[in-house]
Amino acid sequence: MRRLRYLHRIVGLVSVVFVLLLSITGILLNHTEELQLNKRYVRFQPLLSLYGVQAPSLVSFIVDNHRITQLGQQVYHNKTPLSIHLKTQEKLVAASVFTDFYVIASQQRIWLLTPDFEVIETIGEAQSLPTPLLVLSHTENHLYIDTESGIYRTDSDFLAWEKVFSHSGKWIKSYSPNRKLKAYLLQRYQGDGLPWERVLLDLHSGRILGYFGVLLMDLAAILLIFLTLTGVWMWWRVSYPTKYKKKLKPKA
Amino acid sequence: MRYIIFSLVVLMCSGQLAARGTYQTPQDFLAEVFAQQVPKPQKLWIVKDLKQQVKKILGHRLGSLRLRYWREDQKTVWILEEVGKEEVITVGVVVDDNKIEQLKVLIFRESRGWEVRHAFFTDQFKQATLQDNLKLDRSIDGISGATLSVRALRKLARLALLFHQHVVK
Repeated sequence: MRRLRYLHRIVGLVSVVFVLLLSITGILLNHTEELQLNKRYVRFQPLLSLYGVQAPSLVSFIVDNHRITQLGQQVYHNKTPLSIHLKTQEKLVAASVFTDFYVIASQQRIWLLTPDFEVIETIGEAQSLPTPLLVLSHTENHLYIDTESGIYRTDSDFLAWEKVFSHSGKWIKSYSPNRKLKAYLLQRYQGDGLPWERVLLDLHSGRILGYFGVLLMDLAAILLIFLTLTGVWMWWRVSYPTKYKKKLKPKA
Repeated sequence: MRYIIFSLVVLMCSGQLAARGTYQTPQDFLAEVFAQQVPKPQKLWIVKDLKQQVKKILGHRLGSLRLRYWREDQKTVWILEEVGKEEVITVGVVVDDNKIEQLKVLIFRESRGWEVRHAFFTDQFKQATLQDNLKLDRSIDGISGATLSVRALRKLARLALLFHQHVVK
């Protein structure tokens, strides 16, 4: 009995951290909607880093007076996100105006856009686009792409790609965006990335520490079960000592 | 025993990886359909009513205003794409006289659901037509474990028939 009480006390002390953590996060999660935790975003950099939310590099192009910028998998026209979503490793290689279209090109695809930046057509593997694109250039009537397999050109219809031996025009280069735009986009990227609800859920389940955290929470649950059972047992022993003693008393 | 389990896991994984990829390039598909005489592609603008119909079929906007297609008499060929679960599936659809003549999965990028590329599944679309309510005139049997890919292919079949109706009026 004495040993059990000692063990109960030690386990109880160890469990304090878990009980507090589970209770506080549980209460907060119960009121997610009222507290708008799904709409409040983490801005604390170490926590963002823990989730792998790193600021990706920005690639930006100047088209007329517009800035076309890639940040992560999103492409922005100035500060407005476009309906162009890049794949994980996909990078923009150029943006320009060609005939009546805005042209945005990644290594794998070319998007033709209206003057209002609405996507007219996506040209990719399925449309016989030679890939991967390295750089892009254009004259008045032709658009040129330099790829690993050579230089190709097309006309304003974008229906066929003709291989050419050389192109003497200027290839489009990227620019680093101005500080204000960069700061805005980075804040938008990181700010919208990680809601507090997610962090609380992960704290509650232990997933914030990965699989180890889940095991830790399993252990916490086992400790709490242990505390409950030993607590009830000790209470029963104290409350009904005679019954217990009678049972244990050896028969004469 | 351990080696057998390990070998089985490796085999299963390699099978899944092998299932991903380009089964036939769009260019080869077109060359096959048109017997090497591929006509010049034409453009279909997705505007007004057609835009709404496309949204009704896909459940979302197409994401572009223009599509290209290849036509020879009453036969049209469409290279269409739709997301299965996470990745885009590229499908070639041949429509002749408002009926699907052939539907073929050209590029499959998902890790699951690749069974839709097999003829036992795609043959179900042959001779399918589009009803007024923008649904196929027949039910297409699903494949367990490939529900989303099946759904994507059904949508693309309906789209191809819808687009065909618009260009062959």
